[in-house]
Amino acid sequence: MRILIVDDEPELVRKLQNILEKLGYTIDTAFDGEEAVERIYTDHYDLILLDIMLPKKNGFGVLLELRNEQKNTPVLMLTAKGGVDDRVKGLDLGADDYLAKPFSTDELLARIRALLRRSSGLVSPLLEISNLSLNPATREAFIDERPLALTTKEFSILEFLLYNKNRVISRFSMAEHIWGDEFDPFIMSNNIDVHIKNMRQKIGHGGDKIIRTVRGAGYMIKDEKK
Amino acid sequence: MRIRYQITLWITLAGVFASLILSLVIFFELIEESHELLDQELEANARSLAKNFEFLAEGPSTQISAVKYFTPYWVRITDGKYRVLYESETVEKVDLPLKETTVIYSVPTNIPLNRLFSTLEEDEDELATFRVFIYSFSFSGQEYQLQIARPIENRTHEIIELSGIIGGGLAISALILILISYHVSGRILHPIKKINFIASEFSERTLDKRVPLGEQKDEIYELSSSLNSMFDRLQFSFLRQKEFIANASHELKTPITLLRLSLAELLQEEETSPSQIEKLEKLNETVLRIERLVKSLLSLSSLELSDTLSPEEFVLNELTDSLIEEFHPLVTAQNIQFISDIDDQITVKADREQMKRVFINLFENAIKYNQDDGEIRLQMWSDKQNGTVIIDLFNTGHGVPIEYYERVFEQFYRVEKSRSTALGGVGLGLTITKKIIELHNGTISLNGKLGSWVQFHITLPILMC
Repeated sequence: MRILIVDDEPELVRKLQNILEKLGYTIDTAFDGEEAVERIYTDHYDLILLDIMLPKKNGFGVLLELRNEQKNTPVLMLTAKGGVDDRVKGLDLGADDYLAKPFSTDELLARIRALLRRSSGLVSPLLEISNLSLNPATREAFIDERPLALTTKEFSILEFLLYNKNRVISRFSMAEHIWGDEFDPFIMSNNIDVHIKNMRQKIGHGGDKIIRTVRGAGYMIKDEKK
Repeated sequence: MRIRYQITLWITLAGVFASLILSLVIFFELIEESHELLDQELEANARSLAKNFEFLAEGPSTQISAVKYFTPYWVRITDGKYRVLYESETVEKVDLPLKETTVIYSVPTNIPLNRLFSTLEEDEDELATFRVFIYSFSFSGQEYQLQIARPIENRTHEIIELSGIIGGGLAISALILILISYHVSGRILHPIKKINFIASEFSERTLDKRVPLGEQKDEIYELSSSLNSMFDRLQFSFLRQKEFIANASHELKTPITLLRLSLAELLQEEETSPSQIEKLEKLNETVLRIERLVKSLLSLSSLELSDTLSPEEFVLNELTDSLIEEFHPLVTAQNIQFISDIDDQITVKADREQMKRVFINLFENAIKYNQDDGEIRLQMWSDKQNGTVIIDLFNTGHGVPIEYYERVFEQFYRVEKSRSTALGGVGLGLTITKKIIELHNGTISLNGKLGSWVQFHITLPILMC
């Protein structure tokens, strides 16, 4: 899951980046509104953390441009405490949720999970497919109640596929979402293949049924019930 | 020699030379002047004696009074045939030769001065020199000659003293000149120093800095204003270039994004057949390649345009460890051994994001051009004496011909073009890597053996003590 953090306080950004990266999210940062717009135009994020008070172009301006581009990336607004007007304005402009500063890390993480879930059209907090279930909050995976020991990266890949279930995901765009664009997706796509191979082995019987290979295109997790 | 010293030297030399000339003129004038005064005095006395010749001729009584009057002059009056008519008392003591012309001349004698001037002290045994004036006149048809003389005061002492004073004065004035001209030249050159400082510091960060203009419209003012207008033009083109890059990036990135979105949409369509999916994915790959090329170009030009890094303190080996971890599955799948040999803890101050990029580029490079069952070896150590971190990254593989060691860092330069393109490179990775290292004042070089191995050697002065 690739997240863009937009805030003009470098210290806060670094802290958030460290926390989220440890959890397996891929983070990009922008320190002003123009940089944020630039990034939004070129990259593909699963979520944006957006501060309202920004130099060069404020958060509302960034939101406006994002929605004008017909991008439906979920946006979590970070506002100053008590700024009711700001929150109303932000939500009306297309933000999906808000969080007043200062906030607790746990609340931020919960809201991020909720937003990712909602934008994927999911109701349950658990990501489930046939006998596989993932809990993004605890980052635990189970196969028929049996815990599955996944590495951070493996969990992220599986999580990404589950959030985008029933869609064919290209190896390159997977690489981009998992590692960000600092890494070369043409090299990292090979890495994806290795990870998928390892995960299938861990899942055991039926592993290649759950994570399907779409020849020449990528991977997909498909809900059989549909 | 610095201009300040040159100005000081020349002003001082010119000043000393001028005052030396002036002193010499005054010096000689003073010596001459005293003679002139004496000569005028002798001549005046000679004339008045000649006028009073009538009384002198009358009798001894007037003679005596005249003699008293003319002490301490040496006086002798002769007629046309050089017979002595009158002699003053001093003539007995000093015999002065007589010359026939009407001239003024000096005659040295061997008579000590103190015998002529009682006021002089005994021990001053200088010899007297006489100044003689000869005056011819006629009186009731007869030709007469008057010789009048006076001892000249010896001026050697005064001359020596005067020369001493002049020398001392010259030395003092030279010293004052040095001080003043040093100070003045410093004041003149100060604006130039300032201009130089601003011009040398001029960079992307100080685009709006200008040389302050003085109040007087002098040469410095002209220099400053022409420099300022040059800075204006530079700033303009800097901003134009920046604007161009921003615009170009936007113009290029938007259609690419649209393409990618449309392709992703098509991939999800139910009716898309597997063979179409395959083609679409190939298309997607190409679009992605263009996108990466655009991004690399833009990040390279923004690195070249701005020299702003945001350094922070971090542990370098933690960064490399986490990056190696990312590549681990891939490396293992190719049965490549990734060995890292690192000093305990290397704390550095550098731009973390940019350093991350350097290592990602280098690691990707080492994997891309490696062989199955190959090896990658990362060695890092800190050189505390020089405050540098030294990094060696070795990998097995095809290697690089020696003549390309420099060229691999050039834009779009690839040793094996076909192979590199197949591996997804856009030909800017090492250029960006080198640029980032240079922005950190470091160096990167290549070494190796063709067909066997290559090694990047990096030194970075970013160590924290």
